[in-house]
Amino acid sequence: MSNFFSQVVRPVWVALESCTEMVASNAPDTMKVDALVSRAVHAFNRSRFDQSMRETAPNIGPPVVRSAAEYFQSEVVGKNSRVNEPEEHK
Amino acid sequence: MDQFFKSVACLGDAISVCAFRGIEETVPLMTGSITSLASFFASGGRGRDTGTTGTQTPSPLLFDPSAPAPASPRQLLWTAWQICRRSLDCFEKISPVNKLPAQWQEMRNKLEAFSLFEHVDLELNLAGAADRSLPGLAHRAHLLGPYFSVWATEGVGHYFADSHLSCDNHMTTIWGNARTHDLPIASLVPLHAGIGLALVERLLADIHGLSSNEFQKHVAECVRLFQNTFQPEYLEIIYEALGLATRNLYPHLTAKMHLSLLRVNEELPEYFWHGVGRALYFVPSSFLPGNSAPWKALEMCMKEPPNETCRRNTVAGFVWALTLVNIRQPHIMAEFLSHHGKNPQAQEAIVNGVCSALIIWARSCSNSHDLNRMNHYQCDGREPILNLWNRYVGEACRNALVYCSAKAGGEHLGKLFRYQTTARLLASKKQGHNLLFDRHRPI
Repeated sequence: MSNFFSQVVRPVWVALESCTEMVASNAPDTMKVDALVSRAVHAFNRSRFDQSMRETAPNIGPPVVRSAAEYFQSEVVGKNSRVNEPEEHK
Repeated sequence: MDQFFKSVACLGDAISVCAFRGIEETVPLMTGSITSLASFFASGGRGRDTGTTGTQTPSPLLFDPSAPAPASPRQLLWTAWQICRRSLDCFEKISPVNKLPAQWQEMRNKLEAFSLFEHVDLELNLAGAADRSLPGLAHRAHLLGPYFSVWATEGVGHYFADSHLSCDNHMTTIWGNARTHDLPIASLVPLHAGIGLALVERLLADIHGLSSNEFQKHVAECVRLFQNTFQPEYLEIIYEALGLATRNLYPHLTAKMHLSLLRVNEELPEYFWHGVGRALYFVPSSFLPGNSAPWKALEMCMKEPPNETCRRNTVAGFVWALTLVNIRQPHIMAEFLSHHGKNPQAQEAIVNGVCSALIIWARSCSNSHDLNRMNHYQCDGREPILNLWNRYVGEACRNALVYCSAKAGGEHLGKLFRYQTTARLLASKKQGHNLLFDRHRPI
């Protein structure tokens, strides 16, 4: 699940975020397309550190991604640890 | 004609062999992915336990060598690059003259250089490396040989810094704790280029949405941190990487970054625009063979910079990248000169770009073979291009040889990452250190 988040969801999220940011700017179209491709490749490249990304998720990336990562950290990872809690006490 | 038909008949086979090789490499990765998914669910979604206590210990580098590698989209992308590269190799072998057109050769060189940098962990199988210290990784890159090792070493620097940043380590831990005295001198320039790129990518990701004042404050703070962390001889390489990352990833911030750097130090924009030139050589649209010969990105180098000094730096940076990527095939540079060598505005910048690139190459490879090949290239006897070659590349080679004739070591190589006149370049060699910043003076 964490792999899927960091290797697929996050890079796509970053690429989409950059898409809205770049489209809103006054840059020429060629520049926008180049930047989008570069940022998508860059985002996928960042995904190689998926394990640590999950460890330090709140400190990584632009604010929008950071908030998504925080949500993931608190809701998904948090829930998993709560589910496993009674078992560990036994 | 017979040979032509034979070549066409071989083409289908060659492409299928490439495709099968790609699939062959991908299938084990996909199997690994299913295995890792199964083990993830078997562990109740907790991931891998590394100790008896059930707590996970973050590794300084992130990959666990014992873990099966999943087929991530990134690995599939890498496989696609490999298929492209191998297909071009096949085309070259089956073509009647055993040679690709210059544009396609340049594209292949770019793919090789880019892939070695971007996917260095996959290219060198760093996940399985026993020694994952910076000297260990640099040594692994060095084994690739003179041409490929330069790009791989840059990739290693980027990978190493990125892995530390992902663990939220401080900048000083990247360079300070890396047993840098064990590193060979030849690896220092590409390592700084890679590390610098990782650092400025992180900086830009954090500050790209800030107001101008806040942006400026963070840039100034970061420049101060760079000064306190890295050796002064290589510091400018980090500033140059700012141009590369900004133009590639946040091109709409180029003007903002230029102004911010100008307020910190008036020389910094020169390195920044040199990096922008390098970025323009690697923008995705310039990978297409149709955009080479004539090189459309060179027009951007002339249009985008705000003044003449920045323009010279941008052109020098562009030519720098062109020279290094295609250093094994001088005829690509000759093709470039045949299209753009008649522009008097760009002449000095082109000569400087070629000269600086050759010096850095000689210092990073410890191999004068490529430099000599460039120096003795005769342009296949084409007289008009030979004249241009002698005027541009011949002069640059002579200057580079004069510069390199002195013993390596103790040079301020960072200064080569910007445009400078030939006289100034050669004088800087004699003067030695001439620091951009006084470390004790506040910015």
